[in-house]
Amino acid sequence: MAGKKGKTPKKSVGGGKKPEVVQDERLQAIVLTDSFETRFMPLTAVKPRCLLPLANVPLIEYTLEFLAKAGASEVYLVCASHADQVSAYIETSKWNMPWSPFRVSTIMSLESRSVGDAMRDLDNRGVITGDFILVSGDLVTNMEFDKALEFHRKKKAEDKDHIVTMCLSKASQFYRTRCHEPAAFILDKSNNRCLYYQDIPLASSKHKTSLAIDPELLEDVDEFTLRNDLIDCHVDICSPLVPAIFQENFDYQYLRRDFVKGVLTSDLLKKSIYSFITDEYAARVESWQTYDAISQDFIARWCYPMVLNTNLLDDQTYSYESEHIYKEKDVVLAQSCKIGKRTAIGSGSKIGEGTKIQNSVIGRNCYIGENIIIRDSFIWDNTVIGAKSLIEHSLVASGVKIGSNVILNDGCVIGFNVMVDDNMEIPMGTRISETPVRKKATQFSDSASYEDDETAKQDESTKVISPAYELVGTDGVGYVYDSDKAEDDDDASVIDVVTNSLTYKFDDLYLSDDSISSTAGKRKKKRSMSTNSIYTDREGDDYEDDEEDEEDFAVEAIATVERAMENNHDLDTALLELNTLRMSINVSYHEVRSATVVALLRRVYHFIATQTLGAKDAVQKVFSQWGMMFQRQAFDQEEFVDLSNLLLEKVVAQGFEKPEFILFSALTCLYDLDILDEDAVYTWWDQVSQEEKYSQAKTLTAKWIEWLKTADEESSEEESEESESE
Amino acid sequence: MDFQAFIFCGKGYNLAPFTQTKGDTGVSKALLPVANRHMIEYVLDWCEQANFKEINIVADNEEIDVIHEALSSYMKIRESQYEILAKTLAPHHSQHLRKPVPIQFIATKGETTGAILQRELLSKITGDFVLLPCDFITDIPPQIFIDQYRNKDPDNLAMSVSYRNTFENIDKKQLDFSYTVYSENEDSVKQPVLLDVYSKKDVENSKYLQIRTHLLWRYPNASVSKKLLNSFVYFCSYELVELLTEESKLSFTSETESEEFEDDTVTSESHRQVIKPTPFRKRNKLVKDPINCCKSLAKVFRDLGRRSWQHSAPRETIGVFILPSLGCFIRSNVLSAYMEANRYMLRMKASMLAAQGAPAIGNSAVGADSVVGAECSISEKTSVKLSVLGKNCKIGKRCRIVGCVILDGVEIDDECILENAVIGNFTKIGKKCKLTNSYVEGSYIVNSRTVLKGETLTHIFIEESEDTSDSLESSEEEDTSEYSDDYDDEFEDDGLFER
Repeated sequence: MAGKKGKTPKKSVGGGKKPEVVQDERLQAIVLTDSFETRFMPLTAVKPRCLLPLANVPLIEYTLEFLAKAGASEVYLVCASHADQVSAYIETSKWNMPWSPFRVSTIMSLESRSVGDAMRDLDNRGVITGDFILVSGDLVTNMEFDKALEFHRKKKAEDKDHIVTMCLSKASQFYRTRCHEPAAFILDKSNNRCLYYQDIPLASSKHKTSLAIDPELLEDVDEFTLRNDLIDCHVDICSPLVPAIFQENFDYQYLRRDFVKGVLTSDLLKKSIYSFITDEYAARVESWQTYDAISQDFIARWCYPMVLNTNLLDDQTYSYESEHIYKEKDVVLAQSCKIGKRTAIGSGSKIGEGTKIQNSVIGRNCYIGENIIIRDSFIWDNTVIGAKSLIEHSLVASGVKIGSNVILNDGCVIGFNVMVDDNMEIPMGTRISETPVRKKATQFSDSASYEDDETAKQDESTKVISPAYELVGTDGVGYVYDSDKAEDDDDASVIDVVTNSLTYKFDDLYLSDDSISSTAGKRKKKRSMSTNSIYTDREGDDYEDDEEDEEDFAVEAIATVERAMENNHDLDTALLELNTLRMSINVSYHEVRSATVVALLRRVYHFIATQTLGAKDAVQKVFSQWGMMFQRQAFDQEEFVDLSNLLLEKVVAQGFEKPEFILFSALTCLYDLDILDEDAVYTWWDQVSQEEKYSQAKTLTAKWIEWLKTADEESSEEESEESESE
Repeated sequence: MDFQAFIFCGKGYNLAPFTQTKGDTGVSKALLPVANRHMIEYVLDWCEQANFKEINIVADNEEIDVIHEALSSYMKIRESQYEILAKTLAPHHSQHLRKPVPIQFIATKGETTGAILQRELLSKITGDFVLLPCDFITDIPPQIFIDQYRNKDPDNLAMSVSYRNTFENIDKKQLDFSYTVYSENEDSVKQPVLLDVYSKKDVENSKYLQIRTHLLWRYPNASVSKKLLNSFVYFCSYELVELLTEESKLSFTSETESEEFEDDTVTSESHRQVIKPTPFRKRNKLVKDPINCCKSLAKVFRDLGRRSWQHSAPRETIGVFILPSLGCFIRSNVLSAYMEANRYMLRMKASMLAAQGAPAIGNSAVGADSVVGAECSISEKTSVKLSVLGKNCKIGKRCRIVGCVILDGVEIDDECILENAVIGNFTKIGKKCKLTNSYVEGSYIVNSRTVLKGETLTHIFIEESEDTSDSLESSEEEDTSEYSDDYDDEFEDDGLFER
C-alpha cells in the first residue's frame, strides 16, 4: 500500500545510485533494527524485536511505512543481532520490489553492541552523504515528517551549528506509551533549542534527585521550559557530522544519554540540537508496557491514517467493522462466539463455540477452541488454544499450543512454540520460552550488556535449568525465563531498575480509551512498583523478600564487586563504586561488608565449582587480591568482629563442601593481610566459640586460634626475653 | 471581596546612599522623592484607585512617625479633595461619593517582612488582603490585578505578581535576576502557578541550577525565566492567614519534630480552625506544614510555591500573574531603577503637557520634561533636561543638567555638567564639575573641577571632603536584596518524599 501512497514519483531502481542527484533531494534514512536491549526476552532470543508482530504486522513495517511517507529515498537497515533474519525478511518484502519508494539495503554491523557502535560503524562505511533520518526499527507513528524536515532546514539556515533535530511527541507525564526511561528535555522557549538533557527516575522512585543544569548553558537564554511530558520516539534528523562525533567520542554508547548530553555540555563542540514537538502519534515499542499500549492505540485508530485495515502487508485483507473490530477474510467464527470491542483476527483462524474475545489481537491460522475467554491479550500466528481456557492480558507467541482448562494470568508471556499441558495455571507475570535462554543471551539476544556473560556463567554453575514442568505440565515444553536482570547495571544510579513487564498493577491506567491530551493529571501515583517486579528484576531467589533499600543495595553491591573481580578493576575503583552506592542508598558499612563477603565467597565458590582452582588456592587468590577492600570497610574492633562474623555466616550460607577450610583460609588470609589483628580475632572467637551453630565450620578455625594464641605467647615471651637480655 | 492593603516600607538598602541605611543624611525609602513626590504617594494613589477596604502603611518603629508626618500634607490634600468633590457633586449623586479609606500606620519591630506578616499583621487581617511594596509605579490599573486574582483557582492561596523589565536604561547588573520556575498549565484549565525561585547567587554557589525531578512529575511542562522580576505585590486569600498563624507556635520546632508532624497530618487537620466559608468554592484542606516565616516575604511565598509540589499529596498553589508587557511597571528598588522611575514620571508629565498643548514656559532653559521644586533659583544660560530639581536648589550659570535627580537644597556652582546623576540633599557642587553616571550622597561637598564617571561619593567622615578619591566607593553596595542568601536551607530534607 504504502508504496503507492503520496510520494514523489521518484523511483530509484535498486542498485542504480545516481550521483548526479542534487544532495538536498535525496533523503537517507538509517534504521537501527537492533535496540541493544533485552527487554523483550525471551522472545527476542528467537526473533529480533523489529520482526515481532504488533497487531499482526511486524514492527519494522511501521517504521518503513513512516519512512516511505517521509519521502526517504535510501534506507539502510543496521542489523546486529539476528541480522540474517532481518535481511531475509527485507529481501522478500515489498520494500525490495522494483516499485518500492526507496532503495533499501542492509548493513551488517554484527559487532555492534550499542547505538554508539552502530554509528561508528556507519561512519567507517561512509554511506552518509547528507542529512539523514535516524530511527529505530520499532517506531509507530503517523507523524507528518515534512513539517519536521522543514523545521530542521529552517533551523539549519538560522544556526549553522545545528546538527540534530529530535522529533518529540507531546503527551502527559504519565502517558503509557512514554518510554521506560523518562527523561527531561530543557528547551529554549523561544526557538525550541535543546539546552540540556537528563534522565530522571520514574515518578515512583524513592531517590531524591534533581536536574542539575550548569548555568553556563543558560547564559544567553531568557526563558526555557523543563519538559517532562514528551515521548521520545527516537526520530532524529541528523547531519552527517553526527556519526563523526560518535567516532570522535568512542565512549558514547547511547544516543540520548551520552550523545545528546555530551554534545550539549561540551565546551569544545559548540553544536546545537533542536527539538521538534509534534502533537501527532509517535511512540516506540520498547518495553512490554509500550507494546501493550501501542497495540491498543493502533487498534483504536489513534495512529490514523496508519490503521490496520490499510493492510500494511501485501497479503493482508483486513476489513474494519464498528467498535474497532478488524477481521481478515477466511476467519471462521462459531455461531455462539462473541467478538468484543477492539479486536483483530487474522485470516485462517477458527474461533470455537461460546468463546469470548475482547480487546485482543489474534494472529493467523490460530485454532481457538470452545468456551474460551480471551481478554486484553495478544495471540500470535499458528497457536492452538484448548477449550475452556482463560487468557487474560497475556502474550502468546507463534506456534504455541495451550491445552484445555489452562489459565494464563495477567502478564504472562508464552514464548515461541511452547506447549502448555491441560489444566495448568500460569501465575502472574511468568515468562516461558521453548528453550532455556540464558546461554543464548550472550550470543544472540539483542543484548548490549557484557555482564550477562558473567551472570550467565554463574547461574549456570549454581543451578541447572530444568524445564518448568510445574507450569507447563508433564507433556509441556517450556522453561521459565526469570531473569530480566537489569540490563544496565552501570546506570542503576541514573535510572532505577525499571519494572518491565506486561503486567499491570495499575489497572485503571490500562484500557482507557482516551486520547493523549485527556490523560493528563490523573495518572499520578499509579506507577507504584508492581509487586511482580521482584520476579523480573531481581537476580536470585535469595533476595526476593523485598526489604527495599538494603536488598537493593545487597544485589547491586554484590554485582559491583563481582564485576570488579571479573573485569579485574583496580581496588580503588571498586571501592569508589561501592562507596558511591553506599552513600546513594544510605546503608551502613555492615551491609557493604556483607555484600563484599558474599561476592568474594561466590567467586571462590565459582573457582572451586568449575574446578579452576583448588579450595585453598581459590581462597588465597580471591582474598589476597580483594581482601584489601575490607581495609576501607571496617575501622574499629567492633567492625572487625562483625566482619569475622559475616565471614562465618556467609561461608555457611554459600554451602561450600568444606566450610571449615574456607573459613580458616579466609581468616588466615585476612590476618596475613593485616586486616584482622589478633585482638579482633580473639574477641570474635570469644563470642562465637561457645555458640552451637556452625560448629562444623569452626573446627579448623578453633585450631588456628589455638595456634595463634600460643604463637603469640611465644613471640611475646621472646620479646620479653629479648628485652630482658638487653 | 474587599481587600486590606498593607504597604511595606522597606529600608532601601539598595538605594544607599540616599536612604537611611548609614548615617543620617538620607531619608526613609518610602519618602524618597520621585519627581518631587514621595515614592509612597504613587502607591497610595494606586490604592485609591483600587478602592481597597483599608490601607495600612507598615514600617519600622523608627521610621513610622517620620513617614506619618511627611504624609500629613498628602492626607490633607486628600481630605480637601474629597470635600471639594462632595460640595460640587449634587446631593442626588452622593451615592457615587466615597469617603477616602482610612490610612493607618503600623509600627513594627520585626527583622524580616515574613516575620512582620506572621507575628504582627496576621491578627489584624480579617479577609483577603494585599501586600504591596512602597516603591512601585505603574500605569496598570489595580482592577486588572483584582480581576486576575478573582479568576484564581480554588486551590490557589495567593497570587504573586511578576513583571518583566520594560526599561532599557536600567542597569542589568543591578537588577539581581533569579530563576523563576513557574508552570503555565497550558494543558489544563488552571491558572499559572509559581513553583520555585532560585536566586542567581544560590545557583552560583551550588554551581548548578538544581531542579527536583519530583517537580517535573508534578508539573511536566514547567517554564523557567531569568527575566521575571518580583513585584512584591501579593494578593492573598484569607486562608493564608490561617495557614501561617497556626504555624507561629510551631515554627521553632526542630527539623525532626516537624517531620513527624508532617506524618500525622490527619491529627493536625482535625485541629484546624474553621475558616471563613466562601460560597461556590470548595474549601481547601489546609495541611499545616511547618513554614518558616522568618525571612523575607518573597521567600515565604517561594516556600509556599515549593510546598505545592514537594509533598506526596498536592497542596494548595501560589498563582503567578505575569504583568502584560503593554503596561509599565517599575520598582525603584535599585538606584538605576529609581532614576528610571523619575524619568518615567517626567516623560509622562511631558507627554501630558504636550497633549494639553500647554505653551513652553517662557524662554527658560528648563525643558518641559523636567520638574523643578519650589523656591529654586536657576541662573542664566543653564539648561535642565529630563531632570528633577528638589526644593530650594540653587543652580549656577551655564550649567547643563541632563537626566539627573537632584534632591532638595542642592547648590550647584557655575559651569557644571551633570549627566545621569543623583545628587543627595544639601550637597554642594563646586565650579566646573563634570559628573556622569554618578551618585553623590547628601551634604557632600564636591570640589570644583571634579570629573567623575560612574562613581558613588559617600561620606566616610563627614568633615573630610577635600580629597574625593578617599571617599570613593564602588557602586557595588552590599547587596541585601530580598533574595539574600539562604542557601543553607535550600536542599535540606524538607519531607519531600514522605512516604
